[in-house]
Amino acid sequence: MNSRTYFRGQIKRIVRLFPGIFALSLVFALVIGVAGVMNARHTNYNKAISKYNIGILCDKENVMLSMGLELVQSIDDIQFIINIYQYESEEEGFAALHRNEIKVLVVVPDGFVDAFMSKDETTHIKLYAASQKGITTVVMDEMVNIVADDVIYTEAGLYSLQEELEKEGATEELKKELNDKLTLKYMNSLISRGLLTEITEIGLGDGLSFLGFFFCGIVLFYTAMLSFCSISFFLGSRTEFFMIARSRGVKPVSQVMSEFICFTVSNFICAVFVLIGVYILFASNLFMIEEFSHSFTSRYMRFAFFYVLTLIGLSAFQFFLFEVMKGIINKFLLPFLVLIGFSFLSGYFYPRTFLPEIACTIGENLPTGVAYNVLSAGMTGAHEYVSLIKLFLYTAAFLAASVYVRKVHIERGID
Amino acid sequence: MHVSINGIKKRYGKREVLKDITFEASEGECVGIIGRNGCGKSTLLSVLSGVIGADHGEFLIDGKDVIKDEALRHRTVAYVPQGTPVIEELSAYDNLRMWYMPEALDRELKSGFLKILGIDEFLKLTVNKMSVGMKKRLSIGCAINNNPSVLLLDEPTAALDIVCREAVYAYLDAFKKSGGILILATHDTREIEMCDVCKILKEGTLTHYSYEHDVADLLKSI
Repeated sequence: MNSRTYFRGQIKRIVRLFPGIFALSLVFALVIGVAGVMNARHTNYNKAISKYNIGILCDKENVMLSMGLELVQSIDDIQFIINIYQYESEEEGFAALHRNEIKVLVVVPDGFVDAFMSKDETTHIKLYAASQKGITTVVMDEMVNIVADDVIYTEAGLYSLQEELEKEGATEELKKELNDKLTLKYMNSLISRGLLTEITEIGLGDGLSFLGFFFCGIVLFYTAMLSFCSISFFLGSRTEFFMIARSRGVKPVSQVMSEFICFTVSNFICAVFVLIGVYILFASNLFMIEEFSHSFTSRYMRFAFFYVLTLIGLSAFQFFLFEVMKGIINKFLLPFLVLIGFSFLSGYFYPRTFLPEIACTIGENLPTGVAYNVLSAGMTGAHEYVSLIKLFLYTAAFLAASVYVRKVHIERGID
Repeated sequence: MHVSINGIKKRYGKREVLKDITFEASEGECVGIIGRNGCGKSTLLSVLSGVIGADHGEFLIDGKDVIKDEALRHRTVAYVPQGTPVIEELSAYDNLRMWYMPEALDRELKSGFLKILGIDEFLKLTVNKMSVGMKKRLSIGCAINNNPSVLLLDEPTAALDIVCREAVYAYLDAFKKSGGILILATHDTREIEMCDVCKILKEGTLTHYSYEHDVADLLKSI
């Protein structure tokens, strides 16, 4: 036996096992693909944004207050942040607050508008908040900012008007009438000038469009899980065989490389079928993502090339995990847990920018995270040389570690 | 042909598994290495077969050190570890093809050692459908592809049924008669009886045991 015959033996092994591996990979692709597509199609990004529910209790007959509420619900600063619910009584408002239907109850006392117009500072708006640390602070902060801005602008206008009217010797009645008119005009203009911005939600997830992110995550998760389709390749390995091969000069490096090539090629063939299936879906316009919408074929080819690189990197990672773990249960369970955990941290299921900063940084630098960066660069056309180098280094490191582990297992006779 | 093993030492961390192992064997001789589990029998065979390196010592075959001369070792030494060092997913024939050229394989199956081992009876059977005995015979058949002068066997008949044992013994007998040197790690009484010389491995050192005594006495001393 030599390295060549050892390699030939491994090829025969994988060929024997391949029908089962391939069938399982198709089932995996189908399950993960259907779950991913359904998730992507049914997730409304706008709905996913949390809005804060705020209750208001005020005199509905008061024109100023009605306009003020309309103003608050239409200005850009606030319309994407809060929902406003009006209540008839304090009991009703507090009940809603206790049921957690609203986060804050705003009580505008009777005569507040008149006091405001006459610059009387003794009457205040009362805010009752459900004590939810963090959220309450954020909501209050936003509300105070918005209210303060609007009030200051309104008051500035009123003071200027009153100064001018006093200089002209206007009566109190005239001042009040003009105050009201000015305030109404100001509010009208604010309302009519609402929606100054037009927001289009493209759902960027870690630099990709919303569907692009889902596609990237699904493809990588499938690739991470692909190794389990080839589990029989690892379960059938015997340390005695490695030992006898070693005694004839087939060194651990030759053994590991022979097996890694067979494993990766098997993964590659399974993945190619999936890539062709996805290509057909895209080409027939049944499904399209923004990243591929322009010059589809060349973009897709670039993506496929980068995908092969990530597949090699992830295969090296999986090979290492299977090489380290001994025993059937360990070979299943631990790599599965590691791959699921790493996939989560690397943002395969949810944009990793949503994670805490430290988890985000870790996720970005894990092998699965680096694979994500490389594949997303393949989709967007970005030049991710650093991630490519990291992927190469990870691949080399995992293979070197696998060789070392194999050497130790042979020396210790660990099976 | 003469084999001389001189001053083999092997240490795992602080634990010295083999301390100055020295013995000799001549053509057609069977040397039994006997000892309790974990005494270092498998380590000794692993060192002699080149699976692991020795910290010190030499393994001379006709005066040439095969620990240093790897190519010579590949031509002259065969090693069959414990268990079944074959590929489970392949047939017996495919396993043998990893070790033999087609012509040599046909020849051995018709009239050589593979015939004596009875491997021709289950050539097309996949290993994972074989009995332990079949696997063991196949393992030996694969290992001896280089027509070795020295055969290292680690508990060759452990867990085999009586028919398989007889096939293995028949082969070992034929190997000895052909002038080969057998080095067996064992604690099986029948295998011990087959040995011309017995060495007891205890606490890393090898002591000679004259096999004029009863096997039961020998087993008491290990």
